[in-house]
Amino acid sequence: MLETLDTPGSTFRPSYRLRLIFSPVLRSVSLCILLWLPLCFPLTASSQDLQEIKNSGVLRHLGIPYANFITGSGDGLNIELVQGFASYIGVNYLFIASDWNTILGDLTGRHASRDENSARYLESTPVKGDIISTGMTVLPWRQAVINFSNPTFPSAVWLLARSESNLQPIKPSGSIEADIVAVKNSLDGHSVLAMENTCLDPALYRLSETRANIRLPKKKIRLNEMAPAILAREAEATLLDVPDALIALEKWPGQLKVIGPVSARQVMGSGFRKESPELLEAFNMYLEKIKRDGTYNRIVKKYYPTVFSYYSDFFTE
Amino acid sequence: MIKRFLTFAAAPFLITYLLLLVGSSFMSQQNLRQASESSLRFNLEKKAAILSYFHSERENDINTLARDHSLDNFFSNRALGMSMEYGLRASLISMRESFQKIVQEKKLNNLPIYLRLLFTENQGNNLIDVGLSSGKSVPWSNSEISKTDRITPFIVISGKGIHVILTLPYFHKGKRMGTIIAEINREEVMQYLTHSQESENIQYATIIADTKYVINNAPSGSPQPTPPISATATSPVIQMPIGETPFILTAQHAHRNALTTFLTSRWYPVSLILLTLLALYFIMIRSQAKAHTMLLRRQVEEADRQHTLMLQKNALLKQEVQKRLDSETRLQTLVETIPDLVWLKNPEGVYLSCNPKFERLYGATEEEIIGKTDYDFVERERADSLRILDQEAMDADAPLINEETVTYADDGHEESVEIIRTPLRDSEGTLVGVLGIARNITARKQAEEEARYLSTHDPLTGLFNRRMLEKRVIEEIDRAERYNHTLSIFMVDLDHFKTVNDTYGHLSGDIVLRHLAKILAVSIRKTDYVARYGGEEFIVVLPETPLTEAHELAERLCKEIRRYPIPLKDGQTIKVTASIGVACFPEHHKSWEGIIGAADSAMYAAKQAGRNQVKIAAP
Repeated sequence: MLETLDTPGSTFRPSYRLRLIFSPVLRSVSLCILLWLPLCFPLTASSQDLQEIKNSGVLRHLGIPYANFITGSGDGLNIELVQGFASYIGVNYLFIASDWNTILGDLTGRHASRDENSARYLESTPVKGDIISTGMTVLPWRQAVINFSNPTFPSAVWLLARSESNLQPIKPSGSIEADIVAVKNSLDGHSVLAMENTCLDPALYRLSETRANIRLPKKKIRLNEMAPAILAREAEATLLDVPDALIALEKWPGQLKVIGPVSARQVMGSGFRKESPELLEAFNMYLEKIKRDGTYNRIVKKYYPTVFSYYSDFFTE
Repeated sequence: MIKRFLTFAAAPFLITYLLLLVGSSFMSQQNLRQASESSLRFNLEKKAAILSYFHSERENDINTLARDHSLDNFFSNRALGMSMEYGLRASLISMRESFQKIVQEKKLNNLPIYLRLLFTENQGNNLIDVGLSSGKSVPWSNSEISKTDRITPFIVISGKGIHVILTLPYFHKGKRMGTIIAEINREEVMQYLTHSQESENIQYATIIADTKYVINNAPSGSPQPTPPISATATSPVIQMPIGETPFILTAQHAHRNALTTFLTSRWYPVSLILLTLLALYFIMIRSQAKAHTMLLRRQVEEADRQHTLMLQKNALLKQEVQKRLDSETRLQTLVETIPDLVWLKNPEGVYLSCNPKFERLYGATEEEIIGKTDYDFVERERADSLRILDQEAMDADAPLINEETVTYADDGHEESVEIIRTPLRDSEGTLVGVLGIARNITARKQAEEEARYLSTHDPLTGLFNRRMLEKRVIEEIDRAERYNHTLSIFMVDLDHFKTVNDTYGHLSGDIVLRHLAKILAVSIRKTDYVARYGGEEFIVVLPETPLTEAHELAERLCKEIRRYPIPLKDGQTIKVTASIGVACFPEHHKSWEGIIGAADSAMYAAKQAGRNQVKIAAP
């Protein structure tokens, strides 16, 4: 059942082995299969776009409790954002809890995982929601599966270590690429905690090319439990996105230190089915509106006051 | 005399009163001075307490800021070697926001308390600098400030003015990292705190101990030492230290106004006496005028009251008059419209009043009737009888009712009337006359006559009815029996009368019956009489008539009936015949029923024999 698909608009390329066995005839047959595949897996409940959602009267928000994006206590930056959007299009709001491994499938009706810079489609699953908004970083392989809204939040991935670690913070060089190289060079022999299928996926940053001892969490944990995990000595250092890193530094002052960046500037966005272009357009219009009238900045300041000041260029542009 | 004596006697009391007034005024002046000083001292203590509290609150602000975790975070992260680009800048932002929050939130009467809040590192560079004056060069010497090891207030006098600052050294893990410096908004905040209310009339000044600098109202710009406030005989200066600060608060009454000066001068009691005398004189004059005014007012009130009472009585009187007029009008209307004759005579029979109907009786107007008696209008005998009836009513002292027939003088018609004569007495019981009311009962009389006629006659033919017939026949039988006479009876029955009704209608049947009745009536003798016995049957009674004579008469009657055609409506005529039965008393029977029965049987015999003939009852 596992197969790799080339989705229009994605940067995915078939593997070399498959390319060899594709004759021109087979290509034609494959093209037909590709065209018919969406019909073979009808997205019965998922083919909802803006009008269907308005008719149903409810917008289902897929989210994962994570940092202050979704606190798990019924509030959070993305909760308020989607609640406002539901009100904007005149429907009720419903939160659907998900996790990083299933959230794409919960939106599209088919699970997917990263395969290099593209996606690998897995088994079908019932559609549970209409929008993903949970502090999800916009990554190429995710863009192959879903459409992202305009950026909602800035991010990047840093390497954090326990304060007593031998790893020393790098001296900034003025070049982000050089700083990333400096960080990776310092990883030789150190254990680094990462999490697959998320923005902290080690493969995204080619950590395997370093001599770091990559460790994945022994048990299923949330992204915002990465910092406590290294404090519990599961690893010496961890990958962490900037919003979560800044919160961790405030939460455990003097116990963690930022070594340096492992990624360039990233952005987060809300995800939509590719069959929901009107819903995506409506969301972008709503986002533009609340950015103009100051509502969005007010929500960001409420949940990420430090990030708001730290990335003031993003929020005041 | 008594009044003058009282005046002289009151003089010593007045003098004593005035002396007491002067004495108490002097005492009051002394108390006023003491109270003024006490008030000044109290206000000074209050202001000093406020300033001391203000100062301790600022110390709390700075201490709270020093304990803020953002400072600890920043210095911890920096100690770990983190760079501003990767993480440390966030800690610095957090630290700066803590400083900014103090500057923005701490206000007094909407005035910012802090002009500037800084964190100056040991090297002298400002890590944090927020507030209205941020970014400018500092007027104080960092080297001097870095020598302090605890919270310390500083007064900095520079070419730009006087600066009041509060400094607190900051230590991280036992090592001094720098100094938190807060510059107080001296000009506005301290001015507000020591502001003197207008009513207090006190001038405050906050001076720096051991100097002559006044800091609460010193102008901006280059400061000049302000001379201390000098005390005067009437306005002492009081000083009080402000808590553990280098400031001293002074207070002095700004100036004594004209009222205060006057109140404490010797002219005050003198003017008080003069004013008292003037007031007494004024009160006396006013009292007299007031008494006079009161008298006038009472007179006016009494006149108003009388006027009001008179108006009320007038209104009641008008109401009563109107009521009576209305009553009289109604009575007059009643009397004039009533269909009865109404009149009023005095006991002597002289007319006092009458209604229009009565005017028609005598053919004269009321004016012509009033003052006259019945003797002026009718014959003497008639007038006598009327006078007697009036007198009977007056004697009986009760209504007298009788019926009369009167003739109206205006058109000569007659009416039967029922007259009620009622004697009238006034409220004291004196007889004042007789009221007469006569009601027309002509219609009632006629109805009675008609009822009497119908009780004895047949309405269709005008003949006696059966009831009257029985009465008469019984009387005639009694008479015949008494005088030994004979009495004959015919029973006449129209032949085929049902056919007449069926052919020509019941109205034509009635015409035939009336015609037969007329023939019977004109054919009999004066002593005979005829009656309708029922339907088309008639009975003729012939007193003192023997059977033979009766038989002849019956034959003639039968002939008369069939001889003449009877005219009906629309020019039609009809001939009828009758069958007649004859019976005689005492030959055929001696009782009424028996004779009738015999005549009836004879009549049926005639019918059986072919009708249109006479049969004599069988013996």
